[in-house]
Amino acid sequence: MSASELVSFLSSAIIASMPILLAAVGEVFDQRGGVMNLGLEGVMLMGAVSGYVAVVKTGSLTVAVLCAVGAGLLMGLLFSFLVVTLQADQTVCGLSITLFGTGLSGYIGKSVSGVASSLVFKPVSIPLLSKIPVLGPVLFHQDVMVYFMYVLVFASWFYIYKTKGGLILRSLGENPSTADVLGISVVNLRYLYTCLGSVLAALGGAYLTLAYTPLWADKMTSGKGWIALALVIFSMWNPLLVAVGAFLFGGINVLALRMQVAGAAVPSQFLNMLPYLCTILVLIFATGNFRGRRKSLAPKALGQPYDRESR
Amino acid sequence: MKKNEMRILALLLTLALAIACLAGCSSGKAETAETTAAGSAATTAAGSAATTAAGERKCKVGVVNTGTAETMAWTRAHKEGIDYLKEKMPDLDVVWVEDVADSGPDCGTVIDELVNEGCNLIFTTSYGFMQATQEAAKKYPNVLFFHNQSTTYGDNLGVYDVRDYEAVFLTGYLAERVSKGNFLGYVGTNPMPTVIRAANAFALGAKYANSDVKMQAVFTNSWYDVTAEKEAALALIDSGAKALGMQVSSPAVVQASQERGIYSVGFSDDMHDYAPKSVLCSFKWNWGPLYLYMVQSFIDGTLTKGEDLFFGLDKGCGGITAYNKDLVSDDIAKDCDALFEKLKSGDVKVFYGAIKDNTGKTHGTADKDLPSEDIRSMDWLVDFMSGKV
Repeated sequence: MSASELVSFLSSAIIASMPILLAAVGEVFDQRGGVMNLGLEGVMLMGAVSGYVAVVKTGSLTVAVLCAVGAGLLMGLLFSFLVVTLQADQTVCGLSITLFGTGLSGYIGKSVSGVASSLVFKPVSIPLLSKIPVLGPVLFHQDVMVYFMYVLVFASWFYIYKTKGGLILRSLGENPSTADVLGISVVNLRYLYTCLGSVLAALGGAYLTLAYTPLWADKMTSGKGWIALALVIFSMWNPLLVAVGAFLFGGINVLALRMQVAGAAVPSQFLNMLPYLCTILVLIFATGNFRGRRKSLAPKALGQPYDRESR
Repeated sequence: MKKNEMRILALLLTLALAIACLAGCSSGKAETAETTAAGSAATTAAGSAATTAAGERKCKVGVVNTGTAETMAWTRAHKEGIDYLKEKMPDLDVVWVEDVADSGPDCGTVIDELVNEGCNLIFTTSYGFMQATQEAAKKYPNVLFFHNQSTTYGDNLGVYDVRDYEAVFLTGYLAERVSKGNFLGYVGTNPMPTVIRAANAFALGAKYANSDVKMQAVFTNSWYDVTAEKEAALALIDSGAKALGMQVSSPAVVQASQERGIYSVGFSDDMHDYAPKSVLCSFKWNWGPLYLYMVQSFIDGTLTKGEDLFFGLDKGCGGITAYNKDLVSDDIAKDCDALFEKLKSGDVKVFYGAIKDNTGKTHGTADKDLPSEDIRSMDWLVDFMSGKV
């Protein structure tokens, strides 16, 4: 592979990783707080369609991003209401959100189906850094959403592990009744972090329609929400590892197609299977009960509604 | 919130949800069926076809589709064909059902309903409906069924398809003339005969313009994966492809082509608006004339049993949108139009003679057309096109 081919490949890998990465980082916040949101696919689609309808109708990327954020917020509020206030089963509600989001986005998307938008986030070079050989153009010749992602990943890692706010977040997921006794509002904070997670997932979906493939097609996320969920477990709820996993997944996807072009002797169907195979393998090693391994690192109260009266 | 208040709220929400579901159900199920009966033609009794004194049969057409015309290019192409039919025969009774699941019992259920409504000519447009259509044909011997793109026919089950490869050959020629590239690419969905024959046709069309051209085909192995289509296009472009042909479900390939400044040909929809600096023209299925032929022959009594209808340019099926004036010069447009006429008349044949594939095997016989069965079961790529199927 020549240098320019390598740059092109790595650059594509980062772009390919974006939707899953954003949704997975959002889900890390959700799950660290003890809430398991299985509705990522639906929220991503809602973010994607909201962003696209907004950009087609208003011609402004800013408005489009705000609309996607709004869509994520509404979906997040709905989900929080169901699982935090009504304390309904989180798995069932998450799946319902997926179905709801998929269906509603298809309905909203009818008005822009077949409508082209020429407004996308174009790559912007960062002056000095993009001159570094190979890594320069790969990392620093991307669009603003990617730069936002760099900041998001590090800020999330720092917040969760190094700040008091992050400690409180983790306590919500490990032992909410203790947090409650200390005067922390479990309900309010779970609402906050669930909505934050939804907003990020919606942005992940919007990245598809506003930057990656600027068109709307029914169910266009093609399962990326589910990959993001697996990625959260794979990365042991650590935003830095989420980024690594997302690059890996996106990269292998791109690699599979490039290997097909390069004429690899392996059948193309096997190459397409590779990313999922790798994800499964890593999941087994990350969460399996091997001798000498630590027990699962999942937040202990994950998936359990917090009911003060039954404390 | 106290437990009792929560219970009441949950109960109210469930009630609201139930009412919404009932309201949704009463206005139509998962399949939306629009009946258009412009004329006052009475619907025939279930299954039987009444003949009028003039020897004509009454015809009520049913069309079963997967996905919706709004969201799926494939179904949209069929909708355009049916609209063409309705335009030419405004009094015709047509029941259009879409969003029927590709596999499972839904197709059979929908066919049952159509027959009960009096449909006596039923088209099923998705490959996945094959088994359901075959079973329905056995169940309703008085109804004529036509299944799209399969090959088994007989009694009251026919098959119909468009010789897309003729128009695709033209798009390959156009792509090579405009791009003047030595290397062109083709992005396909699944490596199935209908996609493979289009890839080969595109390649052969390019070769017709430039005998030294090399081609590469890439398959996303999914009927529907927008980002994979884009990545496949980028991979081909990075390998040096100067123009891309495609048979995929979204405009991602033409968008990728425009991003990187190369030419492309759209598929099934007019993709000009998605990439006006890249799209030379788009391939269109043009199912209309085929539908018109089937219905007219049914009505005048010449189509009474299942037949194998494989229509091409000479019957008006398959074709392209207008050339992109900004990218296609008048000379090239003239040559393409001339080629179109030659393809229509049969002076230029796409699959003719002994054709070598990229594993060394030869298909077809010298000085003879490649038989239709071979075209429909094509699982090889021409020798100057790299790629695995």
